[in-house]
Amino acid sequence: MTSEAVTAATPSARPATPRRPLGQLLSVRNIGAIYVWIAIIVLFSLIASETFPTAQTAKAILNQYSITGIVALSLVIPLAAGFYDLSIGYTLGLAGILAAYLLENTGMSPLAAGAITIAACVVIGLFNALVVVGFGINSFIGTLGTGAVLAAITLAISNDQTITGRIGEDFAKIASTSWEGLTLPVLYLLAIVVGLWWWLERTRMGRNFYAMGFEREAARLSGVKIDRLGTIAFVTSAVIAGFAGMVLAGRVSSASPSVGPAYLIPAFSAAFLGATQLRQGRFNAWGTVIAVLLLGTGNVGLLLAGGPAWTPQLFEGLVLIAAVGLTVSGNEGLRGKIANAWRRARERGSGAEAGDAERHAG
Amino acid sequence: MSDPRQATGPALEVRGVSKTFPGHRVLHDVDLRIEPGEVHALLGENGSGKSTLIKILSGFHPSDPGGEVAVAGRPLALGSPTASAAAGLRFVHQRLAIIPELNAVENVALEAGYSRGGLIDWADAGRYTRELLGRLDVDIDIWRPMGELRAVDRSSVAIARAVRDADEPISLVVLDEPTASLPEAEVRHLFELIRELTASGVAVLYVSHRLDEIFEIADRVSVLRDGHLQGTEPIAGLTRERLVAMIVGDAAAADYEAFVRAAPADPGGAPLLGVAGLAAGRIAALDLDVAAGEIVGVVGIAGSGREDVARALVGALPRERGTVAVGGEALPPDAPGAALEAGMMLGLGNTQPNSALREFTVRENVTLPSLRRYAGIGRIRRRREWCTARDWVEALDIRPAETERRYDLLSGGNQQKTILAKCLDAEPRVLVLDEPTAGVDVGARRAIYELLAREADRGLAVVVCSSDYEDVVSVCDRAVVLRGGRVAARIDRERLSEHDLLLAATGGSDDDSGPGERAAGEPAATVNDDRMEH
Repeated sequence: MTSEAVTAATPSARPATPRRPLGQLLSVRNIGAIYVWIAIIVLFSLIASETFPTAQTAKAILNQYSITGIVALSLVIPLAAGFYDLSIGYTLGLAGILAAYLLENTGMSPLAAGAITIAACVVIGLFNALVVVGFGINSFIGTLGTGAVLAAITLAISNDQTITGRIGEDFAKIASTSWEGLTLPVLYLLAIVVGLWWWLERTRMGRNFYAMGFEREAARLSGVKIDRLGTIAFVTSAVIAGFAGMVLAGRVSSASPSVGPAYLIPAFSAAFLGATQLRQGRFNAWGTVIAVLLLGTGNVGLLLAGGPAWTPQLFEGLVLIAAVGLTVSGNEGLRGKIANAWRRARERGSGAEAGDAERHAG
Repeated sequence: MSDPRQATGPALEVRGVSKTFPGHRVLHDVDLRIEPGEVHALLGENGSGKSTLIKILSGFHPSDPGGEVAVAGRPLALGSPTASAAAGLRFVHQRLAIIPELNAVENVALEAGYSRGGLIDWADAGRYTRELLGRLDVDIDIWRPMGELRAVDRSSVAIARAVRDADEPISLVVLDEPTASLPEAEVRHLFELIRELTASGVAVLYVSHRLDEIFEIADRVSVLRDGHLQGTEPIAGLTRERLVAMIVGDAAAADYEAFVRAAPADPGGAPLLGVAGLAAGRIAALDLDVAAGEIVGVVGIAGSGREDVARALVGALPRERGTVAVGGEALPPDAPGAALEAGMMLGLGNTQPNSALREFTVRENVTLPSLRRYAGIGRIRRRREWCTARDWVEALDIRPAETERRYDLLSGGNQQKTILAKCLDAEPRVLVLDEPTAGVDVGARRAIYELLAREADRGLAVVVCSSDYEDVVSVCDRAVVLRGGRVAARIDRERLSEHDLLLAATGGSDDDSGPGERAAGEPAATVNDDRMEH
């Protein structure tokens, strides 16, 4: 076959794989969020020059938003594969309650409690996969439903009480251990982002996640095992979200049944804004982390600058809308509309003669 | 329905209309004259300019300067859909714009609107719809969702809706492939409806590939080939043979430097692909054996089942009955992945959904089915992947020669080449292609033929499903012709011509009870007859 002849060609005689030019890498289109982030940092450094531009604030943002970051990362795989997972907030809540419940009522070791909790998250992921992949229910609706079920289970276990009893020193260490003011969750975030990046960008399964996310039937025709990958995607999101729930329980040394949903909007905001970064329209790990840092910096900055308590939520909501608006490609999307409006304004401004001149010059 | 106006001359008169798209001229000086109350058929192969002409009439495209169109004696301003509608032209497209979840009343109201006021008077709307349908003797349950009605009922409502009262009387209704999605039995109802229309003085421009229908319903026929009007003839004086010759050209093969595949070595051994009693979608029964090194064409008009064959073979369209085996190994009925593992790859034409991943780059598309070769379960060997993509881009002359270009930024021909590269990189034993040259220019088309012939010579078994007879004549060793979901003819290499394919596909052969009787007593030509003199 031709392809044999093709692959037999000596690779050594060829240049290395192409890299994107630096200008493209640094373009606003590619890393716009980083420029916005820098702008925010500069802005708040001016407004709150005493408190904002300090190492302490930077560490606080990292520590505080590492868990948000982990939750956001839990969405990357299912979103890349074309599924919403709206149950992650409830999974997070259930995992925290379950771990705390086991520690309080069974006296088992933190390690065992953690292992059982993670196993429970695997079951949650399989349940989501059964509903969405197995029954073919739209993932948005399906995981909304499973999320409600998880919320009910969480309430049943916790009796709608915050469990504070015997979370204990040992368990709390998974979140509170720190080095130079940076806590362990920052390290978890780093590990997960590297792992997900490698998985999505460098492995066959990652490529196949993207393929099925873009066009499921086309991927199926190319031999991508849709059902298996869909199941793996939901198990991944449940396990990562559950892990975040345990880390959160460890950090605050208690588990509240109502903690989960608050993470949903920032997580989706970050994942969607992340998709506009670096990989142009693909949900990806590093872009998501950049987006989380942008969100965290904005929120902390708003508070330090004396903004009312409701400003962070407003900021998150607006970022979500802007991010999704930017990912919609083509003339229908926000970017297209802005570009069109800009062009029309310029055409009006320059007048017919100038337009002609421009065309001739071009 | 309105009476034709008193004044007036022909329902439609087209004089000297040409159309040039950047780079090529698709219509050359077309003249057409349609009388009131006439059913006028417009025929031509894909790409002959039919749709462009219709789009000019509907105001979708302006024509080149110099062309004139008059409707009922009055000049029509071209390039404006509102002007076309106001002049009394109506269009019913192949896709009817009927929403299956809505009932007839709601579908009519989509275009006609409801009576004034914010509230819908359902009784009034129902009366209006019933009256509209009654004029064409259409009797259906107007309150049932249209998806539950017969296909012909949907067509009828679309037509009735198109010819509803307007400010201007209606001169001409254009029906574009109105029977493409109709079962044989329902075609008759549509014809009755067309006769109702013409009896009231409205002219009908009827576009179809089905010649037997043309002989039954049309009064006169105009044929377009390569943008030139070949002539307008009364149907009564035409034979099927003559009509086919007008469509494909008297010397179809001489018009271009045709690619003709060299005769392959005698394919030996058991067939690589074995299909028996396959039923799926519109296919009722298909038997097909393809040996290594063979290229077999599958043709048929729209609705014949041909468009389902490629997807049914690999199981993308679930198989209802029958068996498909690759190298003796039977395949499950609905698992394209399993077909791929058994060595059968599906390549859909770039104009079809799911043919490729639009957001992926050329490289990612090419290696998607074969990714296992570049990575086990772990890391993708990126350099190797890239080199392969790079070599395919060079070998098939994909332009621009960038492996990292997004697929949806490529032109049609280059998309098609990327799809072929993808298929071949999977190293299949059997390659199933659907519409491999749709939207592909002449040069790329030839390159695709050459590639297929070369791969077949190396032992690949190829099935080419195409609505373009040139594909089949050029590159195939033999062809299967489908009609009504069944094999109507098998044409071997010696008799493979566009002429015979068209004849067999449109019911010219062994179909003695067909409506083609009106073909001036012409004995039904069979593909086994000696070839007609061209």
